[in-house]
Amino acid sequence: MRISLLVQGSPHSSDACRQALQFAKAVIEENHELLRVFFYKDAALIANRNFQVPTDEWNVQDAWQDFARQNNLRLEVCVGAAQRRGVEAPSTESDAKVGFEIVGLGQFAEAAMASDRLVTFN
Amino acid sequence: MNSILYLVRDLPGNTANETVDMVLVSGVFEQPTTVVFLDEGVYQLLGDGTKNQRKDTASKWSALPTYDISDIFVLEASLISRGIDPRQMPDFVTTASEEKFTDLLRTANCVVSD
Repeated sequence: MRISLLVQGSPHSSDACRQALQFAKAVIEENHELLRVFFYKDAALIANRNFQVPTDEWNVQDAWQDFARQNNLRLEVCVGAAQRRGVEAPSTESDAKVGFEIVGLGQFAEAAMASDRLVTFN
Repeated sequence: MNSILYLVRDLPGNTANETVDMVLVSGVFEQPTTVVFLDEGVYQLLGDGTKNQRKDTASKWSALPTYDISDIFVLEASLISRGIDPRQMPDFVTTASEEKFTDLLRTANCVVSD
């Protein structure tokens, strides 16, 4: 089954990014295809290159990056949502953390059309 | 092509503008799109947000039909519980019973909540 994730909750003040990661791992473990992971609204903050958490706390950004690397996955972040939150985008790939790709909302529409399941995390 | 059902449940402001953008993009991609306003989301159809230094989402939503999105509903129970007269709703919105809402949830391929 082709499954896409829409993540909308903040990596700081909601549990959405963590829950989405747990779900994504389960998708892979169950041999489904993880087609797209799209970060929108406050979840776009996960691509911030200045993202920091205290050293004794779990870092959800690092965890997503590791997961993406291990599974050769693209993590898509909406350009509009990123820009309005100070996560600089455009041609400035260096501004977004490695593993995150700044894309347009059209990518989400494509994911919604091509997936068997779309799961939202708020 | 997958059909998509958007549930608008948030107050105006917050991230309402981004929800509108998302729905409009589905329209641009000619994806069969349905929108249901419920809970606090019904307030997005009322009044002019610019009076409160917010973007006027009510007028943005009114653009949906021009994007070929005409299946637009507001949950009747949400209006009643907030004392809102259904006649205050704009013309492009149809009032939906809980049965209709259940039916929409059952038939959509994708459901996205704001």
